[in-house]
Amino acid sequence: MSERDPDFVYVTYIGASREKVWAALTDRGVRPWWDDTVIDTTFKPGEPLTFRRRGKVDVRGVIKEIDPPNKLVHTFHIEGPGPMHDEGETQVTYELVQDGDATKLTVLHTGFVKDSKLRQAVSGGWPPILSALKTTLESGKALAYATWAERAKKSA
Amino acid sequence: MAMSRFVYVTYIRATPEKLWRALIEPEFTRQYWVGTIQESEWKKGASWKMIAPDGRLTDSGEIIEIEPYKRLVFSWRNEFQPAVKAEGYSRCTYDLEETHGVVKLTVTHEMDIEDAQLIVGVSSGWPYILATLKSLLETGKAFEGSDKFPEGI
Repeated sequence: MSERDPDFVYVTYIGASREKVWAALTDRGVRPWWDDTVIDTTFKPGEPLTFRRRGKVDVRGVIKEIDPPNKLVHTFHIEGPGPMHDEGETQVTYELVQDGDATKLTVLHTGFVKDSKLRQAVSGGWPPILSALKTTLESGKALAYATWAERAKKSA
Repeated sequence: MAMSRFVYVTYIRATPEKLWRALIEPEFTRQYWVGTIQESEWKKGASWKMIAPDGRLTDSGEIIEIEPYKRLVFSWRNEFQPAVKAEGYSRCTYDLEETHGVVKLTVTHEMDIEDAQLIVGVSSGWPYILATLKSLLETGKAFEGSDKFPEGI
């Protein structure tokens, strides 16, 4: 058996240009499609990043790689205290590839410990976040978000 | 637990009834599922077939469990690639759960053999099919080209 949990991968296709998907992913305002999460960072390699939700920091990380509008890599460490914080740092990679009129977006979340609670939480979190991003970019309307927040609480 | 397994979750703004119809009825599937249709009486034990726009049988199986608007389980064997067909039957499950005006759709496609080629194949297919289905139901338009069967297959 492996000493780590498997990576989490989610692929979706969004009916928008890579530039639009990139702009949404790097938007520093309140993001209704991500349960009102705000990203604070300069988006420069080596610079810190935080996810803040309703005034509270959820996640801290560092920008590892940025290549607009193709690729963004940052570390991802849940703010403590708590068991998911104690699991340490993980990494998130976004890759955007044009596919006809759509953008193929791959989110790869790596570096989970064995029996990771964080992996369980983000496996429940990424699908509604990325579903809501797709809906927002295609129809201009966000999806309801309670499901994600509820799931995150349950697995915390 | 199955030895080869693909699970995908998506959230679609639709009613469970509409999403259910879109998953199985030709008037919907033709628009987004690369032009294919499915034929079945949609009851337990009934045969299930997927048919390409040129009339070829692409996949076949049998309905294992059906609870309209909530859950569908069916067996699925590839019919047009001999090596994949030889792997035998996989099992595909749709679970629909309504929450806050959105349906959570979980597709689980699994097989009791290791490293099944069929599961590898559908793992790259499902994200696209479910993305264009979501676009169709939410915006009225599937992705351009998702009504066409890929050439050379």
